[in-house]
Parts: sequence; C-alpha cells; structure tokens
Amino acid sequence: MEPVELREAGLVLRPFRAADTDAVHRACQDPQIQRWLNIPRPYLPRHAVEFVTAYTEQAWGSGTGAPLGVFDAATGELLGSNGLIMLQRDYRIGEVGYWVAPWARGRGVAEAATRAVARWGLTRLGLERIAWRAELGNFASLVVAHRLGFRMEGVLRAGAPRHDGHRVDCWSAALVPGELREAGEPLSEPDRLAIVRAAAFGAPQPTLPAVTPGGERIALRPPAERDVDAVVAACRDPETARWTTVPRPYDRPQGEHFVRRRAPDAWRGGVGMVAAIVDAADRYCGSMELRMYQWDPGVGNVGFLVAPWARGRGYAAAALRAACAWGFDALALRRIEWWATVGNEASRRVAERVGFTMEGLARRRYLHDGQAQDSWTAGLLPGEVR
Amino acid sequence: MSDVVALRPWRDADADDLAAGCADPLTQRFLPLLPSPYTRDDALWWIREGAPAASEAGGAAYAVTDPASDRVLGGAGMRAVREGKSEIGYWVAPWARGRGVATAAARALAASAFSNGVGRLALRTDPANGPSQRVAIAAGFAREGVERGGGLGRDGDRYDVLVWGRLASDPDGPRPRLLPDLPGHGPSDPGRLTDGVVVLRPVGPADADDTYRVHALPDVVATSVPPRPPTRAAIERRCAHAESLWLAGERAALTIRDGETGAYAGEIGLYFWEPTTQQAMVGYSLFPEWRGRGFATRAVRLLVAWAVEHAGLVRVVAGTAPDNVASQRVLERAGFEREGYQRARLPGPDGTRVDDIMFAVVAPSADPARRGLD
Repeated sequence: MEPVELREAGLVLRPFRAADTDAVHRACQDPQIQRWLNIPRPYLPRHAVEFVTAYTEQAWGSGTGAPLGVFDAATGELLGSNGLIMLQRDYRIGEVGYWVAPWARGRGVAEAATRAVARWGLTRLGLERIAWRAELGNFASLVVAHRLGFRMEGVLRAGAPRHDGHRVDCWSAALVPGELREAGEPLSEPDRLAIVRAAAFGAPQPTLPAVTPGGERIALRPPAERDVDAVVAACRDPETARWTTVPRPYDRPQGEHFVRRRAPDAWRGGVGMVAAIVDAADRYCGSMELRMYQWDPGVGNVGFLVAPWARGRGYAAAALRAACAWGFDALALRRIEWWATVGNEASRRVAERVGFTMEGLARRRYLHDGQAQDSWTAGLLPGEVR
Repeated sequence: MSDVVALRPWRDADADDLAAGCADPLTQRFLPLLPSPYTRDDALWWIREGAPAASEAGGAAYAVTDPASDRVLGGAGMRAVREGKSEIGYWVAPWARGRGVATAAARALAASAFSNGVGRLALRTDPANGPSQRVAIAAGFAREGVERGGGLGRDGDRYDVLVWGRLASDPDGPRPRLLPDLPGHGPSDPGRLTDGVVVLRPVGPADADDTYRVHALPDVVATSVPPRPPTRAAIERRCAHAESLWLAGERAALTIRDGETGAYAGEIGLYFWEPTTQQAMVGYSLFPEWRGRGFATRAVRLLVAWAVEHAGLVRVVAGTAPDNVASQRVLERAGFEREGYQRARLPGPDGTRVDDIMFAVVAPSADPARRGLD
C-alpha cells in the first residue's frame, strides 16, 4: 500500500522512519502508555527500532496496517502514534490504535490525529467499519472515541492481550460511514454525557468531605485494604443483615471482595461509586454506593449502611448528601432513586432529611435472603439536595 | 470427541456431501463468503488446499461426521491461536440440522482449545440466524456485543454481527437462558400464547410492515421512550433481530393477533430489565381499529402469566404517562396495581425528563430459590 502523509489541525501524520527511534523510545517509557497498551516491558531501544522500521514497513508493505507517527507540523516534534493497527481492505474494515507522548497531552492530539486517520480510512481506503478497542478503565481513550462519534458495541471479556500474557476485558466500539464527527460539530447528548462521566471516572476516585450536624468531619473515600475487618464487622451486624442486601453469611472473603473488586470495578467500569464512609480519624464507619442504571444513564440509585458503632451521629445523612451532590454535579444525573425495605424507618428518615420525596411502595421489589421484599421508593432531583 | 459427532480431516470422498451442504440456501445465506454457486470443484479445492492451508497456518478445519457412518454432517473450524485467543465457526448440512451437531462440534473445539492453553474463544453469528445463536448458548458462549456492519455480504452489503466469547474459566455447559421459548416452540414453529380470543406470537422478520405502521402511529410515538418516530430501517432490524434479543434474555417481543383470523392487531413486549431481582417491564401498542375490545388486557394477562410461570418472574412493572388513562385502565383490568408516581423517571423530548406512574403485578407465590440466577 502506498504510504500517505495526512495533515490535520497543525499535525502531520506520516509513516515512522528510523530517525524517530529515540523519540518513540522516550515516549514509551511513560507509565500511562505502559499501563494501557500492549507494548513490551521494559520497553527497550530495540523495541522502538523494530516498531519504526520492520513493523512499519511490514504493515504498509503488506497492507495489513497503517501505522503513522504524529508530528507537530511546525516543529517536526513527535507527538504520538496513530493509524490503523488492523486493516483488511478486501473486507473494507480496519481498527484504530493510538497513543500520545506524555509531553503532548491535553491539547487534542489524539482526537485530531484519529479524526484524520478515520476520515482517510473511510474515504480514501473505502472502509465501511473502523473498530476501536480499549482496556476497561482507559477513559482518556474512551473520550476520544466519543468525541469522534464511535458508538459503543459491547464489553469483550478477556478481549485484549497484555504484555504479560494475561488478557484483559475491553470496551469495543466502531465508526461506520456517516458517523465521523468533524471538528466543531456539536456532540450528541449521549456522547456529551459519556464524556462528562469519562472525565469523572478517568480521575482517581475522589475523597468527598462531609460534615455532620454535630460538626464531625467525615468523608467518602475509596475502600482500602485496612478497612476489611471493619467492613466485615459492619456487615455481620444483625441490623445491617436485616435491612440491606449484603451477602449472608458475611466473612472475610466477602469483605475482601468488597474492597478489592466491588469498589474498584465499579469505578474502573464507569458504572458508579462505591465508597467507605470514614470518620475524622479515617476509620471505616459505613458504606455508600451510587450506581447508574444501565437502562437509563440519567438515573442513579443509592444504597448505604452505617456500622453499629457509628450510628446515631448523622453520618448517613451527611454521606448521602455528599454522594448525591457529587452524582448531580460530576455525573450530570437527572434523578437519584432510593429504595429500602418497607419498615426501614432509619433509612427513610435519612433519605427524607437529604431531600428525597417518597414516591411509592413497590411490592416484592428486591430479593432479600431469597425472599422478595416490599420496598419504599423515593426520588431526588437536581436542586433538591438539602 | 463426542458421541454425537466426530471431527476429522476432510477427504476427497467427502466432495459431494461438502458441495451439497455448502450449496444449500441457508448455508449460503449465513456464510456469504462461500463461492456461489458452490460446485464440486469448490469442494475439492477446500478439501485439498483450503482446509490443509488453514491447518498449516495453525488453525483447524474439520469435517464434522456421523461417528457410525462417517458421513459428513457439516464443517467446523478454528483460527490460529494468537496471543491466547482464537475463534471458532461451524455449519451444518441440511440433512443433519436440528439434532445438536453444531453444538457438539463447538463443544469439542472449545474443549480442545482450552486444554491447549487458549484463554478466550470468540464466535461470530448473524443476529438473524437464530439456530446458530442457540448453538452458541448451548456451547457455553456469552453474548458480548454487536459489531455494526461487521459482516460483509455476497453483494458487498454489510450486516451486523453478534460477538460471543467463552473463557477457559467459564463454567462448562450451556449458558442459562432467562427467557424460555413459548409453548409449542419447535424447529419450524416459534410457538404461541393464546386464550382463544387473542394469539401472541414472537415477532419475526415478516412482521416489519405491521410493526412499522403501529410504531409510526402518532399516539404510539408520543408514549415511546424517548418520543421519536422510528425509521423503517430500525424497525426492520428490530424485527429481524427479535429472536436474538429473546435468546439474549433481554426482550420478548410478540405480535398480538386476532385469535379467529390471525389478523395483526398490535405488539406487546416484555423487557427483562433487572434479571437479578427477577423483574421485567411490559409495554404494548394496538392499531386504533383493534382498541376497545379488551385485546390489550388479554395480551398483558397472557404474557404476564407466562412470564411468572415460565420465566420465573417475581414482579412485572409497567409505566404509563400520568395522562395516559386508557393504558392505566388496561393495566388495572389485567391485575396491575398503581404503586407510585415517579418524577422525572424517563427521558422526554428535547432533553427533558417526564414523570411516570409505576404499576406492577406480583407473582402469587414468589419462590426465587427455584431459579439459578446470578
């Protein structure tokens, strides 16, 4: 295939040359590139040589890929890598792949370069589908895909290889003719919302401060390994077991699962926040979850519990208030729902104190210990947090 | 390998069966990259060159045969393993369909791949190919996504492709199905629900005209979420993929028909929106000339009774707009109770949110223990 040179928004994209070796080697030392991409570790000079010469020549020569370096049009500095990492011209399909050098981030390089590559693929190569994949949690890449109009198609379990031979789950998306969004075109509402959320989940899970009516400074923070004993104790409490859907029996493995999987997976998957409620001394005092519904990302759902040693001090309301404010602000939610087993007066008082309006009684709404329980339900809209 | 089938290399003596199997219209439809017409010479090329080349490249291309007679029943293959991943595929000759041949072949390929250290096996099916999806489910594959335009047709057209995955760590055996087939379902019958007055049948590709017309009715558009008229293409896809969503456990879509004449009256759907709590949502639309005869009420009753009895649902919900009194009457007559008024529950026109009245009916005796949901 004839190599190309593409120009876009102050960038030049052209096939790598031997002279690019040092810059590629330098860029690929970056921890983010090493974290998210399937490149050798350690990334040695010979890996860079192989990439800019043999790999590049082979891909272009055989027409099975179209790797391009991305350069500053004015200075010639290497800014990143872009192009088609898979190309099947006879099937008219391709797949984009990209990275941005750490010194070139935050100025739209990936977006502009990928736009140039996608436009070239769809028009000059006549591609009818351009795929995109990224490891679950790579929100920086996800934002680029949403900006350009890629549509999410699924999560492939163990869908992508990693340098160490393990395979990781990945998001999968694609762009088909007519969908590429040019610079300056307005975002669709779903893409806008997805980008807002990617910005939230792309950062480490925040610590949200809260103050109780008694003036105690508590916080919502990511659950940590040191919380496991307290989580287990809180979840073994009979009142917790009676009113919430925590697993029964609740032992150390359940506590470890909560800290190591449930909380980080929710954040990494971008589906919600699972936090520990901690007191001023950073001791675990309860759990708070805010998740988005899959069927309507405008709606969130809260659930919480307070450890027996921390009850009666207003922790739940303070924490719920902080979580809901964050949900409306950082996730742009349009509605947050609260559900609780009928009779859970303590939870209801907390919800009402924070501003929830009771909306109904749903029969057999949740399964609890194998039994379907009736639930109260309430809703909170933006501007109603008290 | 399996009691049902044997997997072995292709031989010259298979040429006639291979040619007949690959010339079959269904094989041709769902394997659009096969030569067309498919001749004995094409078969011999595959036996002598194509299949051996696939094996040499590190993949596999087997004849699937009857272990007793050695007769060809179909074909099955696997791509070369790359980075711990591979992909399988299969086809079944018309004389061997409907008896688990492809499922046995897919299981055998998977067992062999996993014992050789493969971590992930992919499988691609056409969403309009129900039998192939049934094989995927029976062979333990999970549906993971839809590649839009992932397939290239014989005439250069593109079609959507379902991607399935099975991991070495996945349990053996079929994936559980959340929505079973209807009573009367068989290889050539989609099954039905009826009370004598109305008949409910699964929506299929032939229903596209009626489905489009009912969904384009202004009052149906107004109560859709979000309230936008559908495109003809979207409705055609929806009808062609209705069985696929049923198999995925996401949605059971049925036509509502006059029990006497079979005439199309409308549509009803059960959306399995929260499997973990065994809850689904029901929605329906009727042509104006069929309203006022109790058809919607009958359809809702039939579907809910089936869902509770056969899909193990504990609770079926239905939402209506606060001013949609006709729909609320239908629900009340069908045994639903009004449970709440949810503010800003649904996306409305132009980025607004609209309120929703929550109706629900619950199973007379909820016994969740009998279903193995995770």
